[in-house]
Amino acid sequence: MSITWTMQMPVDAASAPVDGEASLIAASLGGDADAFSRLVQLHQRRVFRLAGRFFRRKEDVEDAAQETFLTAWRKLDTYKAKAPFEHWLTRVCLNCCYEKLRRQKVAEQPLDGGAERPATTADPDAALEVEGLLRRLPAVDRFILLLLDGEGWSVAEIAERLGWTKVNVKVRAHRARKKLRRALEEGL
Amino acid sequence: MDCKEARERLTATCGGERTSPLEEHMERCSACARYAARIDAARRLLTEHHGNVEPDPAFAGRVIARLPNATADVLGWAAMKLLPVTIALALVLGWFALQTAPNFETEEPADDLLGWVIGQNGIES
Repeated sequence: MSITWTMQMPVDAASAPVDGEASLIAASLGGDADAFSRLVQLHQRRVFRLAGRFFRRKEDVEDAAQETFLTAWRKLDTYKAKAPFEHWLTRVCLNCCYEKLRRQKVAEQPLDGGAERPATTADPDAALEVEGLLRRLPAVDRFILLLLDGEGWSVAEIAERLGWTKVNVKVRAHRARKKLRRALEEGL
Repeated sequence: MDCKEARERLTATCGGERTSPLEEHMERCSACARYAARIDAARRLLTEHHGNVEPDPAFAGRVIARLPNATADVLGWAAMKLLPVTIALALVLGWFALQTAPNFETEEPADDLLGWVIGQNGIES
């Protein structure tokens, strides 16, 4: 099976280098909660956007975002400043979302939470049917498919941002696509 | 192109670009056409799926309020800094307490306990 990867890096305001970010990180490492609060404010939109990719309910997005920043506070000393802080924070966020997804039962976390359903341009019945089929996929498979097809990240990008090897990402992606196919072929 | 190959291609691109042979196959095969519709719907769900939740102005405050033992850390740091002072103070207080404690060994109570108590308090009967 050949897998086509798209390259589409999402860019928002938080991607730009931020003056004084290094000093905020240093102050946070010294226990300065005000400096960390400023860091949170600088990156919260990006974190919410990413967490919102995996969770539809507002409470879940907020919970994942809070967990991201709390983990960042605890592990801030592991950030070595070789890469942009936002890359490190993205990895923290992805891992938090992944763990949260794993903890939830499949049926508890539909792709669409219902109340905040986006307008679907195509046949709504087909969308509902497919949503039900996707819901049965294990969390790890939905996670990797959302990164590949939802975020449009390449294998290399996912590997770098999650700290996984490229081979690991490819294997997981291959399995996820296989399960997706099996799910979508149901009842045809 | 057979169904197996068609579905592999459709799944690999997750509803992306389709070649002419693939389109031709789907015109002939209704099952693969239905599969293509499903993979298109899956792609839309994956790409459109977004919580669209924006952080409210109080979010950072809620995070800071949950920082693990932020207050305890500060208190712990202060306690460590003040440890020598605390020990010295405890020693001084202990010494002072020993000096001012009543000496029961040299001042044994009289047989008349009430008279002894009154005497201790400097009350003359």
